[in-house]
Amino acid sequence: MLSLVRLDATLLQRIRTHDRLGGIASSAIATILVGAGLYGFAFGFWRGIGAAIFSSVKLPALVLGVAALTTLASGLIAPLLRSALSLRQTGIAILVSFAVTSALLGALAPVSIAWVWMQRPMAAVVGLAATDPRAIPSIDTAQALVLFHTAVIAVAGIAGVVRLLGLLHRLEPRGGVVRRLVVTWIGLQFLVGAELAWITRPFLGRPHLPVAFVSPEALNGSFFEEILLLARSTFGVGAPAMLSLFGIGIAGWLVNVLRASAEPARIEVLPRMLAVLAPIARTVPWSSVLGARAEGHDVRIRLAADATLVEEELVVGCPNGPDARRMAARIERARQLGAVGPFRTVDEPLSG
Amino acid sequence: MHDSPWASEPDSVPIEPAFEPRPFEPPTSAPPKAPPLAGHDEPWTDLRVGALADALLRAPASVLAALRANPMVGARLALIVVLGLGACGLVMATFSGGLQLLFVPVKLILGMLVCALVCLPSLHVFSCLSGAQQTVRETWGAMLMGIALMGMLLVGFAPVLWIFGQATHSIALMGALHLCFFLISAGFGLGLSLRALSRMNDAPVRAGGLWAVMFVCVLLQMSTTLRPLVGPFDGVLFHERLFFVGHWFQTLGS
Repeated sequence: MLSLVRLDATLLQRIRTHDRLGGIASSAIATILVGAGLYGFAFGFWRGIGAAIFSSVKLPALVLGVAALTTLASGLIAPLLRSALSLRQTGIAILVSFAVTSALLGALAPVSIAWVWMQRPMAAVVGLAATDPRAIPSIDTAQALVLFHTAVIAVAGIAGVVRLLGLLHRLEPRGGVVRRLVVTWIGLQFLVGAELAWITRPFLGRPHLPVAFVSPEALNGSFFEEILLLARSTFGVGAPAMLSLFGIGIAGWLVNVLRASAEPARIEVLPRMLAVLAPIARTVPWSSVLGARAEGHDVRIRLAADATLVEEELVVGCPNGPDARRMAARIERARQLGAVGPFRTVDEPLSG
Repeated sequence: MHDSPWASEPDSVPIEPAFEPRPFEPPTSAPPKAPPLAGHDEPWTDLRVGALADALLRAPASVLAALRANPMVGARLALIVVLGLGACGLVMATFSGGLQLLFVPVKLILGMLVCALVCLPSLHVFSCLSGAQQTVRETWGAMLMGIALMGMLLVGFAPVLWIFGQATHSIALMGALHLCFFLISAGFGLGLSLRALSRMNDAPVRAGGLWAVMFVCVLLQMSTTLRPLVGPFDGVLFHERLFFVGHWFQTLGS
């Protein structure tokens, strides 16, 4: 379990080489069951043992459900974003990030239980109206606890995303590709996670309502319809316009983040080819170099489409503008000579 | 004055040049168009549906080469389209259930293929405007690659859509979600078709973006004509003709 959290070299090598991935998946699932299960117990603890057990079943189910429902889409999108990750590696990366989140949640469960225990205990208010003065203190405490648990889960979730970033950076050397992968995967997980959490609610529940495994309204509505209702009560008739503006803003941001960008590279100009030393070491024949131009302190080199039918752009940093222009000119010269060759010149007979 | 480079060494044996001497021909124009990197255009040989789908994601250049060499590849791609859209249609139909489980997959497959056939001539002519040399069959192949990719992506998104379909009763919400995922898939799929045509001719398809927008509009109109896809089954006959944007406003209003 801890090797998953540490993300040690052996684990990385196994993921990189597809070596016994089933074992890693089993460990990750076990970590999620234990870690998220423990925190689920802490989540429902304030309402009593029954609610604690219900939550300890639902929280791991929620995490595993999100992983199961998003892995196929994440794995299909990965190669389209120019990643070399396979579907199985994608699934493992998602499970490992959730396992890290769950391990942290499990580790924080004793703190949460102690915190909950120190709060005002729940009074016998089941069956009272929400506006009844006897129920209000318990409802206030429950709301504060939901906020507390949400904050803890958010912190653990951020830790999982950071671990996912670390894992992907070691599996995929191109920073731009990693950024696009993480944004896409997290977007999908948010979409599914919000809906699944809506379906599996309540985790703590309202104190004046009886404890239930799932809400009777679980399959009646959705998270986003609730957002629309809240927006209508807040913004009135302007709610659709506000939500549309918000949606357009999010879509614009996503398009900007997901747009392919040039990768920072280190290169060496050789007589017959261009050697790319980083981010992915390879040699490119001059015939596949489409052009080079200086832009500020950088040289931008455009490479012909590879097997994915997508052209690539490399950015090589230079100390200053004149150096960048000199390097671009040198690459262009080498490209022009290399692209038409090989050829040899013949000595003309020297005659008087 | 000397007659040869070896004139100062009369006793030495003249060295035979290892190549046929020819006069130096300096380059007269810009370097030729970039050929593909070595090995990238080797035709894909494994025609199993799963392997071909994987190649379409990771090495579409080899699928394109296989498509031009082997007509069977086109049939396999069409099978991927049918399987992908069929599965996606089945998930779409679980929202309403009943007879929609039978009709929605069929409508989705036939609607997509009819749209592709309707838009094929324009794609071929647009590519010819850029000096393309490929045949109509090759243009169809490039289009099939894109539609197959769309189908695969829609299958990937199907579990996400399924979970929403189980909870909500809002046709507008489900329609909007399907539309979002369809547009994402279309972006990737049509992009692949245009890039495949570019690779065939070493030149981008002129006004390719415009053609892609037209294809999406035709498909959205087709989804309105074949309605209901998301709502409950209400007969096999076509409904009144309606512009797709008008249909969306009607759905939102109800």
